Amino acid sequence: MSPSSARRAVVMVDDNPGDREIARICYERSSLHCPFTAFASGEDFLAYVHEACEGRAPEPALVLLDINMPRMDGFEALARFREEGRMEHVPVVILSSSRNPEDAERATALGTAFASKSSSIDEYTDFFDSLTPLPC
Amino acid sequence: MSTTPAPVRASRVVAIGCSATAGLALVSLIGWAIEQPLLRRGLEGAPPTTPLTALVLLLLVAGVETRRRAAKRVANGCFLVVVALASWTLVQYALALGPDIETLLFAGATGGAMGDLPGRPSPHTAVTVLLLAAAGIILGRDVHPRPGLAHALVGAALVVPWFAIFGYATATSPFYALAAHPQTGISPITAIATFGVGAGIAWLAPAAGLPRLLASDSTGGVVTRALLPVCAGAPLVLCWLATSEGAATRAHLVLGTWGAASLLTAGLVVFLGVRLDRTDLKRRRLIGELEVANETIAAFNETLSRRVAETTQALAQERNALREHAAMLEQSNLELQEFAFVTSHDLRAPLLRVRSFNQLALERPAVRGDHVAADWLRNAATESAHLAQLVDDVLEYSRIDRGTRPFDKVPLADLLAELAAELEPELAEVGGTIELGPLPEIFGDRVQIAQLYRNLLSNAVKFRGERPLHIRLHAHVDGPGWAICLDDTGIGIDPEHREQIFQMFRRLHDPDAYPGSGIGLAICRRVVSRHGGTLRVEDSPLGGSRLVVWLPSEGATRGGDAT
Repeated sequence: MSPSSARRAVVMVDDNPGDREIARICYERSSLHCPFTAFASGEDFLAYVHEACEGRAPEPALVLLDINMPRMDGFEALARFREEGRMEHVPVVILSSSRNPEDAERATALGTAFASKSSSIDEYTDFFDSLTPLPC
Repeated sequence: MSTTPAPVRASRVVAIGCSATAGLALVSLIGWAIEQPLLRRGLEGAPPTTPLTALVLLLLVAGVETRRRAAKRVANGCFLVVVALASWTLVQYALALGPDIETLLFAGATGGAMGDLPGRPSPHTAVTVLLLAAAGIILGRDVHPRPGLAHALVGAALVVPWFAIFGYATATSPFYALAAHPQTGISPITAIATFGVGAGIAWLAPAAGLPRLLASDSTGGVVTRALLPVCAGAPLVLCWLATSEGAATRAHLVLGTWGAASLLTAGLVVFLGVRLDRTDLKRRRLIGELEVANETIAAFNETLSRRVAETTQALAQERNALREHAAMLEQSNLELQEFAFVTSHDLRAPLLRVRSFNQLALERPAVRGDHVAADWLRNAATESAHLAQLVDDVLEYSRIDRGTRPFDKVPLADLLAELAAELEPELAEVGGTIELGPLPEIFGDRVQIAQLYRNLLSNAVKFRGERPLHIRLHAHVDGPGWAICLDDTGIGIDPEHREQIFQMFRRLHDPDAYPGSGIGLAICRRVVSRHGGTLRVEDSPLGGSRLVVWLPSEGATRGGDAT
């Protein structure tokens, strides 16, 4: 996350360190090669977005958002993120262990993709592969 | 309702009657004292009221007045003296005995004015006062009072003075005096005075006989009050008018008949009045009883309607209590579902991570080199996969009633054809066949109905047994709905276990032989019951089990879409 870096990053927001670790491993195995950055809360993520808007941090190429997080949940973080005019074009995927159809419907209604977390490492890797080509 | 005359009026009648009688008696006595013949006789040529007669009249008045003031002994004494004097007088007339009491008592006082008088009251007067005194005695009795008899005696007593008045009105002496002795008779003063004291005696018992009738507000009372004065007075006036022209001696017989007729008519009027009065009173009593009965019935009705209202209220309260209870049950059921939903949902996330890390660990070269560790990790992976299945099934079970999809028409034939196609690879693998009979269009949640049959078909495949599997689906009308039967050639279910299989986590078999969470049929039954139907197991003609899904036909389930 060096300010000098010009490459756009794949950003993950998830309060669980295990999930962040698994996502990082699967991401590294995939064909994507943007830098991978993870935040543990919506607040940290928004602070980063603020820096990115001022050019002090690389812009996100893709945002993976968990829903169930303490304090600020995924949907609220998404709303705040969308308020930043410069970030309108950035694709966002809601990534959750939820099987509640209401969550998927809500994500679709907000114009984002919804993906269910998989227990299979291979499936997870395939999911990242399906996102190529991603401009870094 | 009561026709008892007002006591004030009765005592007034007594007072007026007695005062009139006493007044007349005193007038005649004064007539004797001051030797004024007209005061003694009342009319020129009429027999006089003798001093003894005046005394007797005063005794009667005294009897009535003392009786009225409850001095019974004095009253009876007065009446008994009258009876004795009158009886003695009559005996004297009958046996021509002496001496005359009157002559003894009053010869000096009247200064020889008695003249050719017999020296005693006339037999007319004696009979009249005797009857009146007898009536007074009868009314004074405390035991067995017979006011009817007393009134009858008064009536009989007044017949003589009545004829006398009639006679004076028509100048017909045989009506008031003896034919052989014109000066021996009842004087006009005495005749009128006896009416006064007679009324006084009769009204001592105002609650019976004529006094009661005259005061009664019944039809009899009204009729008697209207007719009696006319019946009694009209002949008198008519006869007086007829004879005033100087034809007095013409027809005693005719006049007598007139007088008797007037008395008879008066008697008839009284008789009719009494009868009418009795009938009227009876009618009133019956009306009173009827009113009491009506009131009783009304009170009973009121009690009844109050009881009905109370019972209805009690029932309503019970119904409300039941409704509240049902609502509480429903609420607790919902909370339980919510709990299952939230719990299973929260279990999923860590479980996913466990499974992911398990896989990653198995990839490590060091683990691969250690066969025992690798086996254990694979076992852990299998167990966590089973756990994940359980969690998913519980989640699904808890979500059945959370369904918010509206009910719609579901053509079962189409749906099951799709499911059969979906199942085709699995069936091919075990060499099974599926046969679809005629199937209805039902009303419900398509996703849940699909889930129901996916579970049932998957169970049929799972518990297929040794024989080649054949599944047959068909339906028939059963009451207000459809019985949709799924027959198979599988291992079947023992009758004693047919209810258990629908319970959560209930398994009849070793999980190694037949893996599964044990929730599938519980989900099935819950889906069916959400659609207002029932799910049961029977023996199948194909040798395995028959699962009967009964669902109400469309009309019966409309609006039955729960929560």
